[in-house]
Amino acid sequence: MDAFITLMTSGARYLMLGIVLYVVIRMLLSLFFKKTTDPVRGKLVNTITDEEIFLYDRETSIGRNKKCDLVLPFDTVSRLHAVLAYRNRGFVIFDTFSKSGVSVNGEKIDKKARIHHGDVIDIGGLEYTLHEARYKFIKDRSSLLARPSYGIVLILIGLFNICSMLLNLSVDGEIQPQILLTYLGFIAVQWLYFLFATFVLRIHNFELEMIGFAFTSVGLAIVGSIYPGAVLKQFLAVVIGVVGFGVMVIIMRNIDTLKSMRWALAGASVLILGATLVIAETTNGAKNWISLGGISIQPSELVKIAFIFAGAVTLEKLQSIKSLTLYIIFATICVGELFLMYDFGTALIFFFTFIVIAFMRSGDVKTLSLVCGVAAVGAVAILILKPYVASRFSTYLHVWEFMDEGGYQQTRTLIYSASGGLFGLGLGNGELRNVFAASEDLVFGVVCEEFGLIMGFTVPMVYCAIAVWAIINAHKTKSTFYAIAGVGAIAMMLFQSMLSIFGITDLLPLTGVTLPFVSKGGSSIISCFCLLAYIKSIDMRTFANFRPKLDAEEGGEAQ
Amino acid sequence: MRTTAKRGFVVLLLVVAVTVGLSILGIRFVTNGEKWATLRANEHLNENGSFIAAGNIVDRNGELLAHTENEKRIYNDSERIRRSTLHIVGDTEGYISSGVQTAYKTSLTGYNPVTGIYSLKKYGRGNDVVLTIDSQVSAVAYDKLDGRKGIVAAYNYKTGELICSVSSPDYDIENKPSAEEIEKNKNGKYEGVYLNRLIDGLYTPGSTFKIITTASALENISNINEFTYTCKGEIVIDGVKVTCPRAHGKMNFEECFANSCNGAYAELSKLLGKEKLSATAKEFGFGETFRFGNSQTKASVFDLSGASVSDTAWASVGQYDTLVNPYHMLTVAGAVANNGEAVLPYTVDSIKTPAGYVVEKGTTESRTYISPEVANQVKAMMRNNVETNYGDYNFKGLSMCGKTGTAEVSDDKKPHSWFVGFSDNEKCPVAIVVVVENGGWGSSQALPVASATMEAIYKSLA
Repeated sequence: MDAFITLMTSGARYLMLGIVLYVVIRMLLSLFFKKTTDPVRGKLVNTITDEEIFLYDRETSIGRNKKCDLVLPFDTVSRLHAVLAYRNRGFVIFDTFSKSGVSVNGEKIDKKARIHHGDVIDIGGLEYTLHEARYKFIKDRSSLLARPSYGIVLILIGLFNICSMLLNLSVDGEIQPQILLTYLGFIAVQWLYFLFATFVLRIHNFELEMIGFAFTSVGLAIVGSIYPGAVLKQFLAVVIGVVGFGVMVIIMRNIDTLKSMRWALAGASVLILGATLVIAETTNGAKNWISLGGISIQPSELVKIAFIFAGAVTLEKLQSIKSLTLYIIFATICVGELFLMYDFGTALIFFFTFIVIAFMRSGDVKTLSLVCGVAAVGAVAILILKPYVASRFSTYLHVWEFMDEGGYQQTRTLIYSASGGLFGLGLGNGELRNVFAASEDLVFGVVCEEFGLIMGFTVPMVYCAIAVWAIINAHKTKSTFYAIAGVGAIAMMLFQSMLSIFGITDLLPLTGVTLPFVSKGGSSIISCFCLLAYIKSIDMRTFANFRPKLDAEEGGEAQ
Repeated sequence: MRTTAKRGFVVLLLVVAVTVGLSILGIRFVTNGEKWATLRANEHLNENGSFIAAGNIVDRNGELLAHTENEKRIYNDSERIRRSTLHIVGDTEGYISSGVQTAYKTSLTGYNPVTGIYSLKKYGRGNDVVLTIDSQVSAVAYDKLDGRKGIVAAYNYKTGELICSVSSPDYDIENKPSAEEIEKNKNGKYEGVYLNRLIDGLYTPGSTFKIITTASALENISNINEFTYTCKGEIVIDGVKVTCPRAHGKMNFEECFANSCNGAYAELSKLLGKEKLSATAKEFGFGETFRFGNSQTKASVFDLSGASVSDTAWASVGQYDTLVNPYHMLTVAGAVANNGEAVLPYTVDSIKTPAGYVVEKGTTESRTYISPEVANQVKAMMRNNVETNYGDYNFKGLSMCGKTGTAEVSDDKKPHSWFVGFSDNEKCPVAIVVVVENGGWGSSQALPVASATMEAIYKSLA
């Protein structure tokens, strides 16, 4: 048995690193070089000049303003006049509070109208005929790579979990049943999701899920190794997370149902955080945990999902609202509540996400600079008024001078990360695991020590790559809702990774933030999977096979 | 749509920030990783503040001096060997800073930036060390030193291998006296117990310095072989008396050296002048520190900048403010033995991974102190010392060359007793330095220690 364990720890570390590297690299290549088809949904033809305007995007803003997708520089056209959107396999035009209004076939519309092939739209006196595309795809960019075989990827991730299981199976010579259940269960969950998504949701792209599964596997390996007793709970949270992911994808398929949920979720965010503030008890200096029927949850993690949802908007809505005021008020309340919980890390994450979303919505540098300025003044004021908050930052850049005091976690993280080398000491062979919050805040160090620096650095680098992918693909989504939510979600995750990793390595002055997907924590893993659904909504293939039932008003012209 | 999506590029700033941060972190792991991983706080390598990660430390004959068993450091079975090699092997707490276990800590952990300390985890021990020391010889020297403070050091002047280095006072590392006890006796029996006197010692050299003065005379005084001096027991230089233990009578240059006549050397110092004497001392490496593995030696002191004529006379016989480091004196003997070229002593022969791969090889360098002609003349005179004065029976078969010294230190303490010498036998190219602190006469205290140690070395090489 001892010889077997020795073989496992020495060989398994290369195998496990190899699997994760293969999976993430293969998935990222597939994301970046996927076989894409850019559909042109139709064109507008000016009835007088015969000028043709091709409609490449799912949402097209029309107006005098230069920021509009279709700029009509005439006095009769309002600055933000209308939005033409391709929804549920047909075109809809929205009048975004224009002065002169929008007419379809000579009749003035009220807010929105379904339009069809041959209809004539009047925008400020300019008339266009809509031509719906007879063909669906005009550009076919061939992929450099064949579509990955997700079956093989899942088998590899399964192998990783089998390794985790074998390494963690026995504690003091006793076989741990919950270990068996967790890792085999996790493999089953992955396959069930894969089959469900393939045959029910008719999704055929799984790059983001596979990356999520791979990182979750790393996290579960560590939780099972350090806290074999808590691993089942973590696994159940993963199950909820994966289900939540599926539900989110289903909800987000239909853009029309999303709009109505935003206010409800915004209200829920404020209320949940408020309630937490009232009923939570202080744990490790922050008031961010509540206990419901014996289960501890961290509501701020779950509110992250609603926070992004509430911030994302469709283009016609965006063009109608014009002002950021309500959104700023909403975000201020949320961030303020987190501040009052002394959960500064999460408050900072929310604030950063707010800035990204608000900027994407408005491009209003002036207002947002003001907001940042006010926030900075507020932060300084708090540091002055509440010196014990400032004491949290006192060892920043001086951790080696306070090795056994304030800099304990950071110095141990660096010492043991360096000890692991590029390939790590093998799961279970680390020392950092004995330090407080090893599998949560310090998990980057544990990954580096036991799986190696390559594995440790892979996690944030993959998040960076996903962020780049999300940014350059954001305009191909069905709606600005998905673009804003997806970019906001990956920005949130990347920012959180940055705080987590740089905080415990003394590059930034804040500790106590978890690393997405890898850190232990039920609420955290659920939130990660749900946020992943937003990122997935950027991928135009996600909803490609979605065929909504068309209601009577919109005409039953299903293809 | 395009405008909104394009604004998402603001997140690129975050991507850049993370990339820059990760690069900084990566560079820090490359540049500082070794330092961090080998810190005392690393519990892979240390147990209760003791460094346990080193592998086996063996002497030149494979005798196991230290190893780790069940996260505990175990030393040689023989107390004599433990004590005689204490300052070379060192301790695990880092008090003996020049000991191999502390000075070579980084190499001993087996850390490398690619696999970290994985080999330590795999083999249960870090890297092994082979020393150039002969522990049996060291034990003989230790016995002969018999608890007196001082240093016995011998090395191969052709290769630089340090064969023996026994520094006293010492303690038994398996039964280490308590910190309080050491503190209580820090001016008594544990005076400087953590120092390896080979590199940290600085002693008044007494007559052993006459080796340098002799070389200076040979270099600078053209008709030195016609030099004669009549010793009446004392001579007045610039109003200050320079005394000899007895009146040596009329002598040539060689006899002056053999009798170690202070009066004659005072006379020579006047002929040389302080500039020329200082220049020779500088050629011999006075004022320099030497690298001993990962440690540095103290620099020997010969400073005549404020010296009067009489001070210079005393300095030429190794008194005044002259101080010599034993490691340095060993190189002086080595240079005389080796045609003026000093091969610097080292003690770590090699560091190997548990799998046997050599990661570090002991290196030496050599320095030319004096010309071969001068070296060979000094050598002949030192050979004459042993033949006519100290007795070849003390160094059977060795063709021993040597110089004793009796260095006055202060009025209320006995002088330091010195012996510096080397064997001119091709089969035993070994130089030796012995200092017995406040021992008394060089010929009666240091000489027997040197005699026994050289005999042991000669036997071990035969």
